[in-house]
Amino acid sequence: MRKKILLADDSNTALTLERMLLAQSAYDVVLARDGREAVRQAVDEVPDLIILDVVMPNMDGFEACQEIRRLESTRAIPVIMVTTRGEGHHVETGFKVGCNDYVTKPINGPELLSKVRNLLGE
Amino acid sequence: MSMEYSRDPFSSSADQEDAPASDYVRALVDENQKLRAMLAAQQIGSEDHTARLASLFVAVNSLHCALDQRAVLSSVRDIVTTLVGSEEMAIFDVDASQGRLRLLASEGIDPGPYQDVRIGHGAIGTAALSGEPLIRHEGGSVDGTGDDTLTACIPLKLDERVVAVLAIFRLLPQKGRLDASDLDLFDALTAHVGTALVFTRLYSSSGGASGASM
Repeated sequence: MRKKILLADDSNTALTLERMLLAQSAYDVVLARDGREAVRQAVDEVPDLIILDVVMPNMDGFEACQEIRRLESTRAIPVIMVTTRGEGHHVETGFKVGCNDYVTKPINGPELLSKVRNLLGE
Repeated sequence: MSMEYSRDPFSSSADQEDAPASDYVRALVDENQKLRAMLAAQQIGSEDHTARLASLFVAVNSLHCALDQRAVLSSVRDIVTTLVGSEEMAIFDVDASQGRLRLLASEGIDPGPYQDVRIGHGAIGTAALSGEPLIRHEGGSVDGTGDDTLTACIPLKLDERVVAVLAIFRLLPQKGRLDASDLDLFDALTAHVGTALVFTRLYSSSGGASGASM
């Protein structure tokens, strides 16, 4: 059975690139364009993994991750945060709100896929 | 596998025949491990290649989906941040009749010093005049002046005519340096951003969506 991944980013470039990379690796992909939509999609779709950008309108990636961890139905879903800033405090905040791993922009396809497989236990 | 073994290694019934069978199995296991490592390396190479092609596709696609100048500039910013790895950039319009470059948009830099750039002067003006990209290599500067804040000046063309220039300043710390895939991406930007900018002007002057017949 194909695994489902939720991608949340307000950047069309990032969303399209990540979707192409994941679809090529035989994952089903669900999209969200802001943090609030990401939480809603996480509840509705219950994906196997979530990839959350940090900077998004309405609700940022940190808040969305916190909310996903708070909700019973989504709290066990692994989360990868995507950040432009790789500085320590950004990464630390990501782990504090419950993300499992992170990648930095510019997006590196093989690195992202490797982290996805790792968190999906493949 | 190069090793030859003339009988079925699993049909041995005598104890003295177990040794060559286990050697054979060990050799098979070793070879399988080498094959797995080779396939894993090939998979990474293939994923890397796919990611590079995907980046080019995404960049070109997003540029040509834009119907107004603001959307083109927004796409360029998105491409430079997400695919190249910089949040400091500026785009200039070439005004050949005045011999100058007009700042169209900037991000993450002080735009003051870049309001009036003369064609043929400095790295940005030189890229506009020559039509050749200027790329900073590690430890150097794009124009040999020692200014290490500029990473690349990319002429943006319509056919062979330079209609704009994209200047990329400092890269994100985690990016470090440009690589071959960035140079491919710059080639794509050279060919497509200029076309997209000119198209949006034509589209706008023709009345835009209200003037379209389809």
